[in-house]
Amino acid sequence: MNDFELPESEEIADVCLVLEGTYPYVQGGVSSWVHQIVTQLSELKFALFFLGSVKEQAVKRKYIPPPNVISITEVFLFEPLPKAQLQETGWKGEPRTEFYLRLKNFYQAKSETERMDGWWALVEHLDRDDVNPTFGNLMRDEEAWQLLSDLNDEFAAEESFIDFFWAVRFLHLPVWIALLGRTKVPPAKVYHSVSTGYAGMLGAIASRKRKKPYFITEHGIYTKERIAEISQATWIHDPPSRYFDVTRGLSPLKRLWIGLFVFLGVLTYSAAQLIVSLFEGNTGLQIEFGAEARRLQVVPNGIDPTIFDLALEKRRKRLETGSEPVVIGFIGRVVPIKDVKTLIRAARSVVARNPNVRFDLIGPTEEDPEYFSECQQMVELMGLKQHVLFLGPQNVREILADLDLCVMTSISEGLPLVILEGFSAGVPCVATDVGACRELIFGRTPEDKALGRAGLLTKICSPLDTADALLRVISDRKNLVATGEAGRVRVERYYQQDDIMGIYRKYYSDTSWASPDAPPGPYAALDDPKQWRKDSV
Amino acid sequence: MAGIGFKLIRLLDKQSYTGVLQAYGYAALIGSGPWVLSMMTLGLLGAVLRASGAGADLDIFFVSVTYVFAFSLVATGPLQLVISRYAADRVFSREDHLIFPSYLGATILVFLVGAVIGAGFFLGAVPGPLAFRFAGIGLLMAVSGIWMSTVFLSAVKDYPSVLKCFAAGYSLSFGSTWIGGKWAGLPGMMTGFLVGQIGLFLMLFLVIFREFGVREGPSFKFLGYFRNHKVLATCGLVYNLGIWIDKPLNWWFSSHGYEVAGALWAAPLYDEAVYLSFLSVAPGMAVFLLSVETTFALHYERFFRQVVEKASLRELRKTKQAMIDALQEGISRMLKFQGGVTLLLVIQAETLLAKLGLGAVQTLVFRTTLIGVFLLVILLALLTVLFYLDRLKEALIACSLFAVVNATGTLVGLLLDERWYGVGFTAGAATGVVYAMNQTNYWLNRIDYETFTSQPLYDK
Repeated sequence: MNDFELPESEEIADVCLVLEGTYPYVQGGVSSWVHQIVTQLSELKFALFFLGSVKEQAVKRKYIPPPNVISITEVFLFEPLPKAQLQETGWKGEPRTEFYLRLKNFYQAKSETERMDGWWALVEHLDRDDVNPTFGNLMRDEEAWQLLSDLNDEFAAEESFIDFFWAVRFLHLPVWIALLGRTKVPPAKVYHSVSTGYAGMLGAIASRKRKKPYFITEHGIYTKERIAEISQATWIHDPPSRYFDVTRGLSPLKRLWIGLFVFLGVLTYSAAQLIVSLFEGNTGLQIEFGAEARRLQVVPNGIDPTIFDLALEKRRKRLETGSEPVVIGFIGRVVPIKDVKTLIRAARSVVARNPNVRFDLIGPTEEDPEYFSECQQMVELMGLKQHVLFLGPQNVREILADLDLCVMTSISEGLPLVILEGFSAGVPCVATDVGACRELIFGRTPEDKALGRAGLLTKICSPLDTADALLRVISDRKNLVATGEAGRVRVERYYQQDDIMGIYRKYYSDTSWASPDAPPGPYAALDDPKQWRKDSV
Repeated sequence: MAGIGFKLIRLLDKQSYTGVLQAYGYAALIGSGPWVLSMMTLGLLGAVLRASGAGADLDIFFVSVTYVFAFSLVATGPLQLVISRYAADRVFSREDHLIFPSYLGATILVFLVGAVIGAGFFLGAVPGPLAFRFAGIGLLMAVSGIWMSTVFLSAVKDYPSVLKCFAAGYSLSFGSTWIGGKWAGLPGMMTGFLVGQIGLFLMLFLVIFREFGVREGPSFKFLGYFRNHKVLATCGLVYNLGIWIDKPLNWWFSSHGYEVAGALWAAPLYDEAVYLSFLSVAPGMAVFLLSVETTFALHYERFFRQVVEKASLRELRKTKQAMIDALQEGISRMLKFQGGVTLLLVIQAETLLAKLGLGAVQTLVFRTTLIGVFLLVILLALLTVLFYLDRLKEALIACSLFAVVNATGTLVGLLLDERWYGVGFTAGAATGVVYAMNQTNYWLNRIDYETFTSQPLYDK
């Protein structure tokens, strides 16, 4: 698979997808979505710009891009800098003074707008041929040190300076590497990034430089995910408080990190004419993190339900004959965010009340070996070895026929594709009330809701709640078919791959995005987001 | 999930903050440096010998000791600095057990070097009784061993016991020299002095053994340090050269220089006055050790400890200011004390030197070099600070300026008349002080900038 090489091409792509830590090297929801887009919109030429962490994590491609992907460009943000970038160039005069002046203006901006202007002024200056500072300059130039000390006085005067110093260095390093990569972003008629963050930053720069439209589709909310990560991070210096103080927030260093990602978010949102999220629950977050409401759109994931027809038939027949035991399936990676431990606890409680139930855990287990082995130990200690099976990766199309019901105990989700797949095969789902699960299981609009419930919702981290819901669904075996089929109809009506792809096809081909500052056009692909907000909950 | 966010933990884990803290303990070396001791010894010896009545044997003895000191200092100079850096690094990395073996190794090495140079010089170029010549070789070895011991003792910073050792060692040396001289003339004097110096070496050895002693054979691992510490080694050579260079120039090129015996030359008119001036550094050295070495070093260590212990930039700036204040205070105190002593001696020079039987020219040289020695003590303090700041290149330039100006000034002075004798030495010290003062000021003010910005982004 990794032998797959794309022809070098000077062709201008129709769409450049700016991807951060995903397709084609990482498996997951975002990657399948990207693969779907490039495969389904086969009449368009795609250029992929991949931002990775380190090279060693991007050796094996998990997907084979179709031939209409004309180029893949890779930039790794956590690879060591080349030697030349570590040395200081002896630059002087106007390019240097102006650079540090603009850098200062950017950091010390008094408002969001001022900061954004400062940012673009800085990028513009860096684009000049006679302005070529290295990271070594940023590390050693006296103006940089002066600015660093001023910023320290302003934002973290009481903080550990060595931690502040390293935080500033490590915070800027990947941004700098990404900035160096801005010239490598291939020419395209439309730029589309699949997250904010570094990918958003580069998409925004490329769109502005080449005067082409810019979209962003967010599966999770990057800014929120980073904030959650940073708040819990133990590697960022966070001095213990000597006394209990409820008003005390995060340490300045954590705020510094968060500030970076919030800024990158705002930068992306302000540059994109169109900001897409998968489900309505996320639009509110996007607004909270700086997106302008009129640019927001919701386009869910799509799927082709007919490929599950066989499974649907098989399952229906099996349930009609009343086969034993009841099989509850979990499809997903065995990782903490999926909260498999809660699932195992729920399994104990289900098995205690109905020993005729088996749990099949389907999906890769190697991502977090420690977590996986803890899960295995739990299963053993609870005496569930007969009832909870780790099956590893399986062919989902086939295995869905053997499942009576799907379960999901995730702490956080976007729009989980497995639910759509399960529904397509007529498998109902008991899931935690996160991400788009409510919209998927209960329906979104009144017409959608009228199709009926395709499962139940549970509280997160609540084994009992999950167990109760599972038992409720399986207790009525006859209903299992009907419940599942409500899901199938919902997929056919609202999550048809062809419909969803049609929306993106329209976005990409539309010429009215002419100027980068054009407001989002008449592309109310689905309903008005505000309307949905009223309907849901 | 899209987004790599930041996978920095890997990067941060590798980054050991302690890398900031380096071992600069060797800076103390210059303060308790062998060169000061050697000059003071010669001054003392010259005065004592003169008091006991001049004679050809006495002259040969004195000149021989002078050569032994000069050879041993210049030859061991590079090793002195490199080995002290090596020892300081071992203390820092908590490998104290490696110190004693390297002391043994270094001592063996300087014994060998001393033996080779001594044999070449005393057997090849100096006439006289064989016993005298062999005692000369032995003396060169013993004295080199003493310098090496003082280097290691500077790490202990137990100045009182070092002082006691030297007091006892020199009393012994002078006593046995006097007895030896009475008993067997020149060879007796030389052997007597050698016995005293061996005694001193053994006392120092014991102090080091008490501190670092382990039951292990000699180690020569420190030799590897020469590869990466060339500037340091050169520094050790150049500053010893700087201090000595004016003497041989006077021996060989002045009208009053003469051949004492074979390759042994002397210029008593100049030498004795200079050695006597060196006796005046005692108060300056004391202040230096007390205020620069302790107060400054305290703040210096505090600065780096604070860096690692997560102090704020404001606290670091405060400590930096305290460091600067301590240095200013120390220098001004040195100016006061040493300046006072120097001034007094300059005024009283005539009466003082008359008592020792020295003449007008020597009084003139004495007055000039008193000021030179005064400046040299200041230079020494500044060099110490430069070493602390790891500005080896700047320290080397300061030493080189001193050496070069000293040499040229001395030669020019010799072309002129007696009034210019010693001016080269003093001008050299002054040039060194001006340069070192500037550099110290510059680098001390940017210690925070340098400490942080010079940290490599990636571990090597």
